[in-house]
Amino acid sequence: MTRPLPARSGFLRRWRDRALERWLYGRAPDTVPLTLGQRRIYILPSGAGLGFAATLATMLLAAVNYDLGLGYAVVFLLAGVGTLGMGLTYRNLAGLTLTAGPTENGMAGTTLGVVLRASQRRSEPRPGLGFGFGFAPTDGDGPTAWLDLAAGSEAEVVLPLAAPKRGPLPIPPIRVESRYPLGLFTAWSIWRPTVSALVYPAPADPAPPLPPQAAGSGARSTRRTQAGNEDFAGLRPRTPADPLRHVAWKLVARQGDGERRRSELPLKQFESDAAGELWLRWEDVPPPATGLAPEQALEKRLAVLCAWVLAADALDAPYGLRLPGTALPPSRGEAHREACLARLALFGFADDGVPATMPAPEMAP
Amino acid sequence: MSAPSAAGRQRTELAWLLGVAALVSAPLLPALPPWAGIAVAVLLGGRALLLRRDAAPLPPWLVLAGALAVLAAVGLEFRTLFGRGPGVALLAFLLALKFYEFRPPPNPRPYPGRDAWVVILLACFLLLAQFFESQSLVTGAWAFACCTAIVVTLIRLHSGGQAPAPRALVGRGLALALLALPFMTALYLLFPRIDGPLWGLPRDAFSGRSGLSDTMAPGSIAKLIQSGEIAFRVRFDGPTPAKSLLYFRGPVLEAFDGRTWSALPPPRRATAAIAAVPGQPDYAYTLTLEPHGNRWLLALDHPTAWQGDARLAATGELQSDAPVVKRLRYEARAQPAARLAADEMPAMLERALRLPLAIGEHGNPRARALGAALSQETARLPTAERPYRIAALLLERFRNDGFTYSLTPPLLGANPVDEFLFGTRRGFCEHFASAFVVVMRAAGVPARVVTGYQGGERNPLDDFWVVRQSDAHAWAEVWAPGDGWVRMDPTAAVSPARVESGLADATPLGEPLPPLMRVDWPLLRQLRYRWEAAQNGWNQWVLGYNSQRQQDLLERLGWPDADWRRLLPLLTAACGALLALAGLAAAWPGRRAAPADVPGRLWQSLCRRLARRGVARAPHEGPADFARRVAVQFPAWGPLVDEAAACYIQLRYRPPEGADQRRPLARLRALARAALFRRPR
Repeated sequence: MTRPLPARSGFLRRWRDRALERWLYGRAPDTVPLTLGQRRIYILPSGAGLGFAATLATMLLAAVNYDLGLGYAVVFLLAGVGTLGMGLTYRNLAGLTLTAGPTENGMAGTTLGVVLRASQRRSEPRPGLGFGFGFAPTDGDGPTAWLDLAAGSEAEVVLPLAAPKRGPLPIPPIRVESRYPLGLFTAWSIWRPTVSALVYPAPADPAPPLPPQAAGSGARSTRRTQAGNEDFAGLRPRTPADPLRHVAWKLVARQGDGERRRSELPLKQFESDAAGELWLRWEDVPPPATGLAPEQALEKRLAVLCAWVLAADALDAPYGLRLPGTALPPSRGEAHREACLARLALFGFADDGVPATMPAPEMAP
Repeated sequence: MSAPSAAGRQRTELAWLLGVAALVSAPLLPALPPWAGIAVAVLLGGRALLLRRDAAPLPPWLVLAGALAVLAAVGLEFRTLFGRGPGVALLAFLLALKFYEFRPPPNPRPYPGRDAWVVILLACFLLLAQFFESQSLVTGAWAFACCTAIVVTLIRLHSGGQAPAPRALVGRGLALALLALPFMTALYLLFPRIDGPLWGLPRDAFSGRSGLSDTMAPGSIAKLIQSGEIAFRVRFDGPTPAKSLLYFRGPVLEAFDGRTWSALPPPRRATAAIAAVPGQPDYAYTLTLEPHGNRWLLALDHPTAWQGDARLAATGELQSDAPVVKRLRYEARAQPAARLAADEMPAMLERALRLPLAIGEHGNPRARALGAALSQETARLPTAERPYRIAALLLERFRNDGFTYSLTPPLLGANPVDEFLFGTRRGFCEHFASAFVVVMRAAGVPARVVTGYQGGERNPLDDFWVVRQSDAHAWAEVWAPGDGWVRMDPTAAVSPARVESGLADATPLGEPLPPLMRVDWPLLRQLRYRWEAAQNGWNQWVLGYNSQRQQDLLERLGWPDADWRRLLPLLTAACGALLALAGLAAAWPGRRAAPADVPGRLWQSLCRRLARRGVARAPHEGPADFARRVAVQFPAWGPLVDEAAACYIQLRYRPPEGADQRRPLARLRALARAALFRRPR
């Protein structure tokens, strides 16, 4: 399976990355968690290291020419120290364990945080670990996140990852590098965590008003204006999707130890809960201006739907989402919101994240 | 990352780099022209003071203007921008000025930026510059300290936000430098040495060394003897001559302009005839000459055999083909009683009689008159005896007429010899030698001034004689028919102690002397001997290491005829050993971080040991569950596991208020040990 690489310009760069990828991944498969070892760590002189070598060569020439015995000594001493530094730079990465933390999802056009967890068991600190995306230390502006890992500890870094487009976003190869202790060499390793993030559509702004509440089950259709000023209607057991702030905590406090089971927390029900159901439907979205390409029109509609989902969530009203070919029954809460946004994010993509054929804009539900 | 603020980071970085710059440039400052040394020190110190105020970098045009001003000033001072002197000065200025245009890297990162690297690399290069001035033991130690400081600074600048304490940092850098020492030693010994420079040396490569010169004016040697610098070292193989025979001949001065003596170019291809006198003692010695940038080689009077391709000039001094620009070691033999040029060329004798015209500024008429009077007085003596007689009369005059030996004689005016002989009568060896030769010439006896060194000091630790610039001396030579050139030392007539025991004894108390020579406490002298023996060993084995020495060493190690092709496998082996060391540093497993909680570790090890004996705890089992199951399944282990679990639970879950936690801990430790050895009951 090939993953798209971060966008780059230049044919040579693309070719180099392909070749590097083939070579690198022919060598050592990725595991989770990954402990960096001999087959994964690459090391090359840094720019400063090359400058240092050139300086030493010049100094050696001067020492030979002026017959400075101590000049020879100083050159060889510094060369020896530099070479030992190479081993220590490698050592700073060897034995480092990486796992991916939960990756947060986000809207298109924002920057997501990819959470990486690094740990080690050695009794020496590992200072100056840099994390970034790409294959070689020269890619991009270098590492985007830095970490000093104390002895026998673990820590997290958050790598900013731009999310330009809606859809599943595979995490590009992650590079961890180090120049400690002398900065003459850069040791680095590449890891492709098998996780990806979801990029939700960017909410439309300004968004058209929410559609009127449909007479969902046909009973009542009283309009609500504000959340929180409804009448208390009774209790029901909490389900995981319900917001915690509606739990009847006073009642819980009065319950005995034996009764207290998290899944059976009593939930306050309000009058408006039963009032009506709000359906956010594909076909209710006002058709975008004509003259747009079908893909753009699709994205516009999804953007409006996204704005509606957020607005409905802010009202704390139960709402359902209906898209061509799929629907989520009305509910509310954080988990429901994320589920709706995920449907929007993945709309038009097959399960493996490859864009499927676009549904016709006016397709009936 | 818990990084300090960017400004704080840069301040730390600058402080460390300034430290390195100060260490590296400190030994250079005295060697620079005074204004440049002061300017560099002020620039570095000023930047250190600005650190507290987080000064912004100077605008580029100002730095450029400063650099141009420095360029102009250095060019004016040295009259050129190329060569060693201006090069070192410019580098030192570059290093100091770099701190004024220091910019933080564009995005915050825990690595030093380009500016910091420029400073580090410049500092490395300047390390080399101090060796132009001196390559002594102290300089070597200082250079090692500088290298360590550079390494420590690099570690500090790459440590991100978790820099260790300074002491730990220094320890780490020192360890790295010490680990590299064997590699350094191997390469130092094995790297092919090339004799002679790769390209032409700038003319000033060996300037600024004190030593004899080929001219002598009143006061020039007195200035020289203020230096405690070592001129050369001698080791006698076999008997050592008496101290009063230790005359080491340097440039012979024949031309006199009334004030200044200077050497004449010796006749080409002519050489002095030295006739050894059978039955007289001769001495073999090895001399290690410090470079002085001139062609003369110091040799004990009179050389009868010598090593190498030196040649004996017509004036009896040994001369090398090329200027002595590095430490030179040669063996020679000398016979003090040998005859020098018993049948001298008439041209040479004529040169030894010339005096400037009696009229004019430097005519010294009274000295001439004295010479003429002495000549009259001895007119009736046979020619072979006359020179000795005249010399004896003159020396008697020196002895009896109130002449004194002094390091600080009064200044002399237009006719310096007259003023000295008939006025001041206080002088140093050059005054006596000069006046003696002038009077001898005026009396018609060929005479000349010889400069060199007299005496020296034996270091009892390594048996080397150390001859310093303070042993510089000037004496006279008189030609007597049949005997050739005979040494006459008028200074000895005035102050026999100068020749018998050295300058310190000859100089009246209260006269300024080189600090090392005045105080004569036994302990201090002992320390000085030790120090100089170490320095001599350093010179012989470390600095005098050239291709010849390299060959000798390799031959002794079993590699005869070593050239670079034969050295290549050895060099490769040294580099391979270094790489292996680096690999070892990379792959060394290191210690595992100890888990913070001791009870957890004990419990874990107890479970591991039990598992090895077939009583394995399931991963999901807590201590209580495990103990219950063991009691049923493995009754023999029941009591042990039960107690251990109870201790562990007590330690972990219910630390009693103020209760002694040590008892259950000790018990758990004992049980964990027991699980290793005890048989189940």
